[in-house]
Amino acid sequence: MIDIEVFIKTFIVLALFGTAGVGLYGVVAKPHATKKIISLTILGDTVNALAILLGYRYPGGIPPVYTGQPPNEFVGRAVDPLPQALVLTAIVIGMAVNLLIIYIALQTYRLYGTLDTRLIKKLRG
Amino acid sequence: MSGVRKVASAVALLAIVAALSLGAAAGGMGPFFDGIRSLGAFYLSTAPPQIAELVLGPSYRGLSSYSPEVVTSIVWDYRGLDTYFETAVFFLAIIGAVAIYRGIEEPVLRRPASGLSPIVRAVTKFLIPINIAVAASIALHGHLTPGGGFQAGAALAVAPIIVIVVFSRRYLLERGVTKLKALFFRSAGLIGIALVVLIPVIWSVISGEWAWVMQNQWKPGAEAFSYPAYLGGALISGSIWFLNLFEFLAVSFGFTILFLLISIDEDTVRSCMIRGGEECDRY
Amino acid sequence: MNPAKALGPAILTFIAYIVFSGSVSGYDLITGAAIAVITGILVSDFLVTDTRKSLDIRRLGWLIAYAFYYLTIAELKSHLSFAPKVLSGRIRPGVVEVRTHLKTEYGMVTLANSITNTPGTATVDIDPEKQVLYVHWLWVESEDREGVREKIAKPFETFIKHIFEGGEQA
Repeated sequence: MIDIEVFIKTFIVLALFGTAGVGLYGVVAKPHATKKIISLTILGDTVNALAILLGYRYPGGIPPVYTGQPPNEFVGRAVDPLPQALVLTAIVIGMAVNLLIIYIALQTYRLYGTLDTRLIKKLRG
Repeated sequence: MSGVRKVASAVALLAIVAALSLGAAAGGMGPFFDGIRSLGAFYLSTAPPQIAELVLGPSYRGLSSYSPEVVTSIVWDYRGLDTYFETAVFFLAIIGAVAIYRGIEEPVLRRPASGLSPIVRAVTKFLIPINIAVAASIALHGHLTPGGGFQAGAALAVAPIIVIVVFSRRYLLERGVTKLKALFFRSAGLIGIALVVLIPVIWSVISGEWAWVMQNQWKPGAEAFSYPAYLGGALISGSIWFLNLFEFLAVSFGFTILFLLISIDEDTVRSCMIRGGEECDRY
Repeated sequence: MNPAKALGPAILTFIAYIVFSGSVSGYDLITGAAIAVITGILVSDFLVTDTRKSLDIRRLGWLIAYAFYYLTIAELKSHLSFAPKVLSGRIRPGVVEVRTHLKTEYGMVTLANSITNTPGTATVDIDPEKQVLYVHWLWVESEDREGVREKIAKPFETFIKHIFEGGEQA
């Protein structure tokens, strides 16, 4: 008899690992800079989701905002707020850094007329 | 890509997933789905003022950040310096983007800005003030409900990008949302953050008492200084309210600059689509 | 800048702020008012064209009447007439040109969205200069100009004329 709860938990975690693997593969193996950027965002977002999942509590799982319930119940049931706080800043910084990378890619395209790293490698000057 | 490389890539991908799974299975990530780490429990039991003061005792008041929203407490109080330097990274990313685009001239336009159909334009006009209201509400209630300066800034940054898509970049510039003004407001937000962080130190120098950088409430060893937790009966959680407000300004106008720079004038696009030409290949 | 001109957008912003905050404590009212004033001044220039008209309270009454008429009578009538056609699959589609007497942009946009939101008709495009709407109709009942306007635009035009254009002549 398969425990359905264990199956779902394992499935979620493995799916996230798989997505992270796909992102990493795209960054390393795809020659085109646009695809590299897309893979990088996939990788970053998956890691963020994984970090959020680390703080999740299965029985319970109320948001970490105090709304007047008994203190023991709040501390006993609320999810871990620390990963959420770290991911919050990571998302905004990730977006700003992504935009910076896109700017560099756009400027590269305007200067060289291509974003294919195999072709850029051969360019001179 | 050759067959050997494809197989090698697939094997590498599977190996990465397997290694990560093995690490998780061996307990390398702490409790999964179950229980809470002690640091998280500490934040949960000290951040809300009711729990910290009534349950743990008055001596824990100094550990509280006087905010029922624990995530914002961590972002701007417990791990405040962390966020402060994340803001610095954000600042540098935007400065880098602006520096790449330095000296690119605004093209002289021949037609007035037109944009999409009148239906979309008229509806968008009404969405802009509502968008601003929602973003401001997220920022100003950041210490009470989920949200805060970062989220509110990202929410407000929706307004310029909607205007760019529906009207045009030129329309935004004609309405006075220029790169220079956005830079001004973003700098104002960043200076505000720095001031709120440094006010305890300035106060310490003046009064001769001890105070920490980025101090919100009094701390053991620095009892003399604390930001007001309540203002006129309303909970503002000391410095968290000010930091949320300034971060809101900095993030929203920072993204406005980026969107302004990255978008291309519709006039350029139109003339390129009609006539084409050497310089149009760059777009 | 004109303070009266900013009042309309400021009220809109204030309502949105309070609704999104979900509470009406003193803190919400004060911060909401501050945000409303700032936003009202910022957006008034491109949202409001006629200050006196934007503060006319009678238009609000017409708006409520129109919302009531639209959501109950017009929607019901349209659903009843088009549900059998959709279920049986017998349709006679076509794009018709609807001439309207509305002049303002907001009025035409409201008319276009009202037409789109009722089943069976969808506004494809509007031309504010020629005062024409191009409407895709699932069952083209008539093809002459007056008949089309009578069937599609007339029920809404009276209300919209009162809301946006003072209602001199529908």
